[in-house]
Amino acid sequence: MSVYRRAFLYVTRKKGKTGLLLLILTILMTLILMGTAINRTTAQASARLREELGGYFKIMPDYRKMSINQRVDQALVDRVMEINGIKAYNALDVHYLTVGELSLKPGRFTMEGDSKAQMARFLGNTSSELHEYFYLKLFSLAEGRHIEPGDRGKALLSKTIAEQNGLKVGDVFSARMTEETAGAETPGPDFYFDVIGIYDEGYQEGTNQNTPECDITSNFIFIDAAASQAIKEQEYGSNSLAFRGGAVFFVKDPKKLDDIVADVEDLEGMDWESLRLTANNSAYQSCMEPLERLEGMTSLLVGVIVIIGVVLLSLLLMLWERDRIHEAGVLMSFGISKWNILWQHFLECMAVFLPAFCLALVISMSLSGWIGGWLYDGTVAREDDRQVQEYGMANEPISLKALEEQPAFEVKLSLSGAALSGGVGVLLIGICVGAAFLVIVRRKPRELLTIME
Amino acid sequence: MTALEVKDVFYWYTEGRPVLQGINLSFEKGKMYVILGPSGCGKTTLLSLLGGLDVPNKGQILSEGRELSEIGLERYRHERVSFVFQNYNLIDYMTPEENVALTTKQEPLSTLLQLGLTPEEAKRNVLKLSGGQQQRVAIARALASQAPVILADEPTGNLDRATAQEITAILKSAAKEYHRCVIVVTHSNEVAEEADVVIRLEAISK
Repeated sequence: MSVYRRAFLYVTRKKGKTGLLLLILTILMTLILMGTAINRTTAQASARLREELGGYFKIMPDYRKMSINQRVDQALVDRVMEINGIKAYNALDVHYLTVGELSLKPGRFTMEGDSKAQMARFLGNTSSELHEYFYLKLFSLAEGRHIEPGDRGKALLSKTIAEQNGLKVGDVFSARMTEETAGAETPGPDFYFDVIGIYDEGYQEGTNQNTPECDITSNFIFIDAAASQAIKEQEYGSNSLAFRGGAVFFVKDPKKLDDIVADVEDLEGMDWESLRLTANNSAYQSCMEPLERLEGMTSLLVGVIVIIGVVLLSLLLMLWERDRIHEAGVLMSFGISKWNILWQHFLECMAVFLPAFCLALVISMSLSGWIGGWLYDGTVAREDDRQVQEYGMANEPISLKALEEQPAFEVKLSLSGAALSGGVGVLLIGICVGAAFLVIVRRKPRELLTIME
Repeated sequence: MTALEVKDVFYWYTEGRPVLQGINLSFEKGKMYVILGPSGCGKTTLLSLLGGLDVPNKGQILSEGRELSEIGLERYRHERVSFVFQNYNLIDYMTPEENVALTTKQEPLSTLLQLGLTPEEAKRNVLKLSGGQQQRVAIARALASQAPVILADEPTGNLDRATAQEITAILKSAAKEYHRCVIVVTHSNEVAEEADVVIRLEAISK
């Protein structure tokens, strides 16, 4: 009789033991599957956050110093970008220009009848997508595209201003430097901008009647680096390529932000008396801490379940194995090897494990979402009211709250997660069957027969 | 031809206190041997050594001229010897048919029918059979294995007199009709009376 037939007969005839083992394995595998699903979902959410909420650092002239010998220019930006681990940068400038032909969202100056009511804030960017308003999803692009490196004379307007002035993507508007905007005695030439995109300014920070027009977020106009350079030339009369607002560098993995910052500080020829470097991964830290806590908790939970499972299952199988010394002795008296008997016992457990695993899959698929959501609410979402005091990316007049939007957290059992749990289950059974079988394997056939007599 | 040969075998659990000392025996096919002796004289130990369940501390046991260690104990137990125990030692989650199928690839039912079981009894759980029926199943399992040597340890010890006589007759027929070498360890003189050869073991004085 083959070992498979013997295993089949045992499992089908010993219904009580099979039922109990099925129950234990189903519970054990359900817990392992749920723990794995939650753990892996948390790990994936963490990985996604690391990409989405990547840390950044900013280099800007230290305006607190009396004399500044080095400024942030394209050459400096290029050198920093050569360091490994930096994925993008955004060079920043801020200008105030009069937009005579546009009607802005009214504020303090309109109320006061001041001509500064026509003054808008122009934000120079290498890539507007990387400006903090967009990067932190406070603004979103509604139409057109973002400003990209290489653009010239392009602008992004708010939906409010576009609608108020009947502007759409492809239209052109002009702005000029005036006495109000830059102290210029004679108005400068007109700067013309193509509207390449319209943004939705969902975020309105502390706007009221007393807010100057240029501080109202709807009146912000994002322009490209070349246009910003042209304005600077007009403003300062020089051909400086320096970025007055400095440059923000985005790292691929916020975990490595400190190392990258250290590399930047070690760059030769950097005058840190004139420059100021500030690093920030507070958004990442703020979101990651609870996620990492949940990940750690589920890892610990799975570990504890596996250990308890091994102990319980080993004890149960050892108890049953003592009843089978008789059977093992008889089989060995017919020349069946110990390893063949061990294989039979493993097969028996596997025959119960397979339906238990399928049952556990069904149960865990329906429960893991609920349990995961409950754990998530208890650990991650509790951090809702957290505040990130200062992002400091563009020195804008705002005090940002951390992202209100929670990272997507939907617990789903993946194929690889199920396979991993199944593998753990098989390994667990192998260990338990092996441990229980020690009672037989260390005895001679004659001793087994003596015991049974 | 000699089925089994014991040459100058010694066995001890504690050195200096042998259980078996200088045993020399020879067993042939077609005969029933009975080993008699008082409790503790080493009857069951000798049977274990003959069955390859243990190895002597000194001396040799040969199966058809080859030493057991040369054949391999597992292979020897699988091919050349089979056991009948006092407690039957049937696998309790199998039917008589399945118990017999443990030792043979051939159809097991005919052997069971020859030993007096009905087809219905052959498919019943072994624990639902009487002691005599269970011992018949155990003998059928030994016979079905085609092993030339059958070793029986007190096969009638748990049976009433009438059933014991039937079992003894079956064992004798196994030797005569199936041309096996049947070696029975027993305390029963009635069984010994049916034997072709009676071997008496004496307890070694301490």
